[in-house]
Amino acid sequence: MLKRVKVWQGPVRIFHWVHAAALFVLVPTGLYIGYPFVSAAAVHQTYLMGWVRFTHSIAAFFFFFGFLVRGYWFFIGNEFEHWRSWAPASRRRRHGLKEMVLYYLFLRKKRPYYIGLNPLAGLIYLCLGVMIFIQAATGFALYSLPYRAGPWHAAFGWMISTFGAQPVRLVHHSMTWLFVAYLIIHIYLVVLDDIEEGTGDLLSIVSGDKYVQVDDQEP
Amino acid sequence: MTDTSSLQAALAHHGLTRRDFLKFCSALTTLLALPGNAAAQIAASLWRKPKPPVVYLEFQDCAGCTESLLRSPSPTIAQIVLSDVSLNYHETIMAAAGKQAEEAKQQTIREGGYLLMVEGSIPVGTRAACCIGGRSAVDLLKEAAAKAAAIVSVGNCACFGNIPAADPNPTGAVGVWDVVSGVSIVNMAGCPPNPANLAALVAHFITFRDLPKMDNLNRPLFAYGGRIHDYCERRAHFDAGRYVEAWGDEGHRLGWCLYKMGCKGPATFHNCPSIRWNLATSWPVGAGHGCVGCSEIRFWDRMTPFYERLPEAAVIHTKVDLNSIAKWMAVASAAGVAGHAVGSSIRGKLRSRDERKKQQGETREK
Repeated sequence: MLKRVKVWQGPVRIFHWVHAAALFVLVPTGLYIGYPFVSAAAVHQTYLMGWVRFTHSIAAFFFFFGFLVRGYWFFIGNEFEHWRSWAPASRRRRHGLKEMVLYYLFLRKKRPYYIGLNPLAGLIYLCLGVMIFIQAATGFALYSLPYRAGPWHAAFGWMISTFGAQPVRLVHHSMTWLFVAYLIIHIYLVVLDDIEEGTGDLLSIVSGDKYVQVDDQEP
Repeated sequence: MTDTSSLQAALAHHGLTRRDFLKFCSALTTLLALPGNAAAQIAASLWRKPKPPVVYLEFQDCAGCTESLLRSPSPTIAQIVLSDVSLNYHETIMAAAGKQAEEAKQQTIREGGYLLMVEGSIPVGTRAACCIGGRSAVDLLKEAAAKAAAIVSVGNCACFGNIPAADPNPTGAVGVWDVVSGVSIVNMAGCPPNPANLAALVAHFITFRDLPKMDNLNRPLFAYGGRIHDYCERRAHFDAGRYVEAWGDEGHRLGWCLYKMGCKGPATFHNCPSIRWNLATSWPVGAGHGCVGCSEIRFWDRMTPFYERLPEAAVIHTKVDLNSIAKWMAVASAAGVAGHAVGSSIRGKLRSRDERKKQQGETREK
């Protein structure tokens, strides 16, 4: 018998899609800012780079504030959304992490069963959180450059004085490719999980629900 | 050099009028971003007050900053303010030599209250790398710094070590502020710094007996408060999306943005776009070459390659192309995912075959 379990609450789903949309805007605009692969023709009255940078910073603000909301939800969310289900904080989660890695490496036959995130997915998302934090901090530091008396420079300008603007730019630019790598792996794995688990993983980030066999037990 | 101690006499010596002098004071007021009536105050101070004596030391340098200060096409008032008056010791341009020169320096130091200008980096690792009269640069600097009213580090070497301090820094070169403490230090960064800024700094010091407001790298905000990119005459082309793609191409001839040619204007704070060089006729970006970021700390390590957008990361003295590594990680993840998908589909097939067999076995048992 199938039972409906509420896994992702509203704010988490909204956060997810805000992040997804922002990422699809941020990556191409960011790559354009790093290397303007389209040049405006001499005859046209354009503001190409201006608009790209504007779009990039607006998307970045959505991305960052969504990130803060999700961080807050780590502490007040349900058991699936709580940070304890993400971090490999217990021995059982750490064991599950190992089993999950071995399963993905074709060294285990049976897929470990989890209703919420499996320990490997949780850990990957936590690493993504660190990546987002670094990306946001370096991004805001670069954003603060034109106005060193402003609040953004007060908050993030220390990176410019410690590492220099160019190294900060290098980190921000290189990190973009890690986000691209993340996107590829993330989309592949959720599709794979949806096929193999059969609990409606793919749709759960829209509806918030997963469908669980009531006689199934988590290991 | 003239041996007068007042500006009045020095101006007369060069055939400059009081009107020229007042124009110069107005320009300095604008440069320092002071209110208009400060021009009169600056003029009165420069005209009447005795100039502070200046001791100018050179260590690991190329004398390029001195060249920049002195080698303008005609004697400007800035030059007179900087060099003609009360410059008691300057290794490159003083007429005195040997014992005579040393005595002049020692006397100035004994009297105190002088402005100490330093050009060149200080080798603290290999002290013998730079010795004058048998004494190390560290020694000479500490001696001269002790009774100075303030220290002006002229140029990026004296400020932050610059080229001598660039990786791997064989002499252990550092800037003045790494050696001296207890005296106010102004970093007039640049390779070389602009003489107009230095003149403004000196005028500010003479007028207010105080140093101007500075940023966290001790650079005066009037000269290093704005980013080159934000005051650049090519900025409109940047925003429009028009870039020089190769040296001498159509865009280069039309004066488009040098962003893709590695211009470091977006990472550099200096007033070059407005003050300019060579009697304000031009400046590097104006002449069609990207900014190299010469007023920034460790620019030789951080801004290179000068003609590339992104710097190289140095990992244990080895240059690493971080961006390419990250890019290949993205490519590798795509390849990995494709391989894993094939593996997973084979596993899925095997799994359903096993299940079929199991079911068949179960039915046979029945």
